[in-house]
Amino acid sequence: MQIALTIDMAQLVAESDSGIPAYEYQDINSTVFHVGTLAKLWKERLPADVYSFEEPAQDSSAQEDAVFGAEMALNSETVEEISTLCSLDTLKCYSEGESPDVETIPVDALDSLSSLRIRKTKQDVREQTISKDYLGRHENYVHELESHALGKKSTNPEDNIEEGELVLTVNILYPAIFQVRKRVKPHQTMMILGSQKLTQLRDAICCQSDYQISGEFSNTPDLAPEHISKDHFKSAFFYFDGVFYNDMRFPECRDLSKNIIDWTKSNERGYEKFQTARMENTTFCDLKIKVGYPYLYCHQGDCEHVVIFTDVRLAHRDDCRDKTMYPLLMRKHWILSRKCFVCKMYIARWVTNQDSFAPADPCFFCDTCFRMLHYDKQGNKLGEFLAFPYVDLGTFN
Amino acid sequence: MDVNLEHALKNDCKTLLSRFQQTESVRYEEFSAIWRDMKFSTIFYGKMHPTEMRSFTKEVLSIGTYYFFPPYSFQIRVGGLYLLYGLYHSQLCDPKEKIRIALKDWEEVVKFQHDIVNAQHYDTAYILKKMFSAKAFYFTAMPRLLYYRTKQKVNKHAVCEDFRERTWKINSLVTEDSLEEILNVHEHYQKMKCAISRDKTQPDRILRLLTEDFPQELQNTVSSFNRWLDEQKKKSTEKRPRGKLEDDGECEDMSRETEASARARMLANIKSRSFSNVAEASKSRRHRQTELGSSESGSDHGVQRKSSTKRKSLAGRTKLAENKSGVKQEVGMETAGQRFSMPVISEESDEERVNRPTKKKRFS
Repeated sequence: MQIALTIDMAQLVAESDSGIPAYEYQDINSTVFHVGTLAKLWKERLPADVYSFEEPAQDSSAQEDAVFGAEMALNSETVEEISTLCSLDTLKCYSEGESPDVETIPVDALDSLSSLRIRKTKQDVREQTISKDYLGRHENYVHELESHALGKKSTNPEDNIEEGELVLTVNILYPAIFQVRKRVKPHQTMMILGSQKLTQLRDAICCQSDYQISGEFSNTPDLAPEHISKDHFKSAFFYFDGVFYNDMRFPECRDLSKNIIDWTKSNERGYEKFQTARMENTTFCDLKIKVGYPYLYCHQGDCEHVVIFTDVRLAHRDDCRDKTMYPLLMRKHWILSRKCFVCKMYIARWVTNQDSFAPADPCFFCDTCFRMLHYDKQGNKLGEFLAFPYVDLGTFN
Repeated sequence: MDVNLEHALKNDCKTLLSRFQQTESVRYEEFSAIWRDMKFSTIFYGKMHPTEMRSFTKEVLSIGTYYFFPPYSFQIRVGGLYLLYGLYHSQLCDPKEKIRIALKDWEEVVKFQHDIVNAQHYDTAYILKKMFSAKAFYFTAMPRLLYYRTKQKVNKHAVCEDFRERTWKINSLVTEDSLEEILNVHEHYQKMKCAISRDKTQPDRILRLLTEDFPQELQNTVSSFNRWLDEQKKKSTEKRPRGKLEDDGECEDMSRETEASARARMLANIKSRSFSNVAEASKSRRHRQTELGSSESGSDHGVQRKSSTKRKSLAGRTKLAENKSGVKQEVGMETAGQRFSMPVISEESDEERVNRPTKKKRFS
C-alpha cells in the first residue's frame, strides 16, 4: 500500500500550514487550530483502510502479501521470503519450550538491558519489604475505569461512531479555590466525540458545587428540600480561545459572560474583542482550540474549573464505538467520603456549625446520629446550632 | 514515570540502535539478530499492574518514535521503524497500546516511504505496510499528550549526535556554477598578473602565489569524492538478501538489472540534490574519507582547500607581500604555500595536526 503524495497535498503543505497544529511552546501546548479541519486534513492524507474499523479477515495476511508483491513488482517467492524474514517469530527471544514466565524478569537479559536492572532492583525491594503484595482496590478502580469501555460496540448500528470521527481527551481540574488547595489537580478526564455538542460535556462534568442544598434547616430538619443547586442555577459557560459559549437551553439561564465582556470593553484595557456563542449549537468540531492550553468552565455563578484538551485524534478501531457512552469518563480522582463523626460508618448527610454538642466546627453527621444528638423524641430542637444538608461527593465515585 | 527508568530505557534503545548502526546495513535480518541477542522483548516482563504496564508501554513507544523522524540519519530511522515494530508486537497490553503520529510529521513518513521504495528496501517497506494494516497508529494533532506542565521540568529529548543525519556540505558549497565562477575568476586573475608583469606572457615569479591550475584540481577532488560516495552506495546495495535467489538464474538477472537501474537512479539523485538522504556511511567511514583525500593528493597539499578560506588567506598574503622584502617574501611564500595545505575538513588525521603548530611558529 503506497501513500501517494499528490500535487494537491503538496500545495496544502506548502501553504502556511493552515490547520496543521504545531508546538507553540515545545512540550507545553500547541498553536490554535480548527478541530474539524484536522479531521479533514487527516482524511485527505490517509487511504480509507488505514483508519477504518474493519476487523481483519482470517486469511488477510496472505492477501496483503499478494497486494504488496503486486505493488513492488516482485514474484511470489520473493514475497514469501520477505514475509518469513520479517515475521513475528523473529521477535521471539526464547524458543517455544524455554520461554520464561512473563511475570518474572529473566536473569540472562539483565546484562544487555539497563532498564530491566532498575526494575528488578525495585521488584526485589518490594518483595522483601511487603509481606502481602496484593493490588489495592484504588488501582483496580483506576484500571477498570480506563479499560471498561474499550472496544465496546452498540447493538443498534446507528449508535456506533463513524470512521474518521475525532476523539478529544479533556482534563477537568478542581475548582480554582486557592484558599482551599494550593495545587491544581485534575479531577476528571473524559473522552468526547467531535460531533457531540458542548452541552453534553457540560452535563457530564460532576462538581460538588452543583449538588449543594441551600438553606439552614436546624429548625425544620424534615423539610430539607430535594432541590440541588444544579436545578436552581442552570447558567454556565465555556471559554475557548476568545469565545464564550453560554448555556441557554432553559429560560432561566443567564449570560454569565456578559459581565466579563463588558469589563474588557470598558476603559480600553487592551483585550481583544471577545465573542459569544451558544453552547447548545456548537459541536466540538466547530471549535478553534490549542491542545494543552488551559481554558475555563464556569457554572453556579462563580465556580470556575480549568479545562485542558490533552489530545485530539482520529477514532481507532479499538476505541469504544458506542456513541451513547460518550462523554466517556476515563479517569476520576478518588474522593474519600466523609463519614459521620459519631458512628464513623455511614456517609455524612448533615453538617453543623456553632454546635455546642459537636467537638469540632464544622462537624459531620449521618442522618440517624444527627437526629439522635440534636433532637429529642418529640422532635424538638435541643441546644443552639446551625445545620445544613451535606451532599458528599464521594458518593459519586 | 521514574526519571532513572526513563533514562535507562533511552539508553537501551540507543544501545540497540548503535549496534544496528555498526552493521552498516538496513536489513531487518541484522536488526532482528541484535534484538534476539539483547533479548529486547523482555523489556516488558516483570510483575506490573495493568495501569502501570500501560503507561510504561506508552513511554517506551514514544521513545521509539523519536528515532523514526528527522534529524536522524536514514539508517537510524529505518532502525527506529524496526524498533517500533518490535516493541508494538512484544508488548503485553491488551488491547495493544498504539504509536502516535502527529499531522505535522506525516509528510516525513510519506517521504520516508518514497525513499525506501525507490531504494528497493523491500523488507523495510513490508514492515511499514504491516504496521499500517495492523492499525498500530493513532493519527493525532500533537505527538505527545500535553498537560500545560510549565512548572515541571520536562525531560526534553536530546538528539543523539552519533545518529544524526550527516549532510554532505561539500556538495552544496562546490556546485557546478561555483566551479565555473572560480574558473572565470582564476583566468581573469591570471590575465591581470600577466598585464602587470614584465613578461606579458606569464606572471612574475613573485606573483606566483598559488598553483596554476587550482580550479582544475578542485574539480578533480570533488569528483573523486563523489566517486567514493558512489562506491559506498554500491557496497550497501550489494548487501541485500539474495541467498536463495542467487541459485535462480532469472531472478539473479532481474536483481542485477534492478540493482544497476537502482544505482543509476541513486547517482542521479545524489548529483541533483544537495543533501544525500540515502547516505549510509557511518562515522568510521568519515574518518577514512579524510585520509583517502589526503593520500590521493600526496605531497601536494594544495588540493585540500575550500575556496572560502583560500580567499581569506589570499588577502592576508597580499598585505604581507607588500610589506616584506624579496628574500623574506620568498620565505613567506613557501611557508604560506604550506599553510594553504592545512586541511579544512574538521576531522583531521594526526600527522596534519602535528604539522600545524610548526608552521605557525615560522610566522611569529
